[in-house]
Amino acid sequence: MGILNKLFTAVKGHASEAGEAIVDANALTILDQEIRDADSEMRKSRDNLASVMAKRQVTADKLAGKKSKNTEYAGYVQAALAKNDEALATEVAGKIAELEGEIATDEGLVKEYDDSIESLRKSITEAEDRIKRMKVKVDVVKAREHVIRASQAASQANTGANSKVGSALESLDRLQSRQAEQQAKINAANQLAQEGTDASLEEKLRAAGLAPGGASAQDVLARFRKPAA
Amino acid sequence: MFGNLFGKKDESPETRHPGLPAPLQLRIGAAVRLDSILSKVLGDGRYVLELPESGKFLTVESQGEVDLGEGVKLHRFYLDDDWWLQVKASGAVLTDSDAGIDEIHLFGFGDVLTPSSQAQFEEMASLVGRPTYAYADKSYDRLWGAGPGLATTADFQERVYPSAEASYGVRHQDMLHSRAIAGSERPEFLLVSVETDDKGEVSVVHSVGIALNAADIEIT
Repeated sequence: MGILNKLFTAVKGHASEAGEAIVDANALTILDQEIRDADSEMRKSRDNLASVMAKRQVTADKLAGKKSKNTEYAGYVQAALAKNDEALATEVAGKIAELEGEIATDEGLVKEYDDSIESLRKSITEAEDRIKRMKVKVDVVKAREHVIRASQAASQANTGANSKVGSALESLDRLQSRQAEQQAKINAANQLAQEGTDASLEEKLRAAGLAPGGASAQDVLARFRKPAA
Repeated sequence: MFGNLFGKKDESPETRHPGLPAPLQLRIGAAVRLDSILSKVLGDGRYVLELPESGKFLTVESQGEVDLGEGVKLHRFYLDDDWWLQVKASGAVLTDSDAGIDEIHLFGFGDVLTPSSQAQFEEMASLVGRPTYAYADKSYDRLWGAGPGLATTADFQERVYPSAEASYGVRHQDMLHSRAIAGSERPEFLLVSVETDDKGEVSVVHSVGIALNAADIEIT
């Protein structure tokens, strides 16, 4: 791979990372909005389910009314037959036949409503579970984000502190070696200064008692006691 | 216009009755027909209530509304020939649905007594709330209230709409009674109502009726 090519790949890589970073930074906001939208859709679904359930109840109530009417009318047929009122018995029987047809239709409708309610309820429960799981994931991601940020801050502070302590220690070392160096220089200079004078010789002569000046009273007396040579 | 722009309340008169409820499609002008079998089977003299002639269409002439509180309402539909339907509903009543309809009753107006003196009124009112009530040579048992003593009437205000644009109020002090009918699953009800209209005129109104289910009536 040529150098230019590598450079371009690197540039592309950076661009992609930058793009992903932007998307990731907004991901939580987007997810939050998506969850809110999903919640709102779920409320609508629940309202629809409630409406279907209410309609089912109305049909079931009508069905119950028709069934009780059917039973009542069966009694009327028997009463009419007992009174030999064939015409009335036939008319009521006709009404019963009509009612039975309606009852069968309503029973079919109630069954359809029940199936629809069951399926709606199932899909709502599944969707709600998915939303719940998504909310938990988002919460975990948010919490992790906080932990990472806090860790980064702590780590940066730690690194900063370490480098500051390190540089302080280096400064101390430098200072100490500088002081030692200066002391050594002072001592050397003193020594040189001392050696550069006659002081050392005079000291020796004086110790041997030969140096002029500084003679003691005993020295002077000793000189007087010696016979003049 | 500028008033509206600056948030001033629009003081134009609002429509008084933007839409009366129409349970079971019942509304002013609707045609109602009772299951023809009922008239034939129950109209054999066992009931004080005279059922409409088999197959006859009745027209809703006016509508009444009673708010019993807690979302429960009575919707009354006054038909020609002195019959009236009462629909008891809880919750919102939608035109295209029978949801929330608890009971349907068909009543026929009976005797209406107008007291000519305070003493006569008190005498009539003293009969309302007793454990039994005699009417048309039949004895009806009180349904509201327990015990052998006098029961308190149900007091409520009805708003009656002869049309969707006009209305008047009626104060009711009602007591419901019933009696069993031999060979019939449907008891007969007697509603005794001490009514006071907007002008303060008092009358004691008797209505006899039966319970219906939605399949008993055809509404057009």
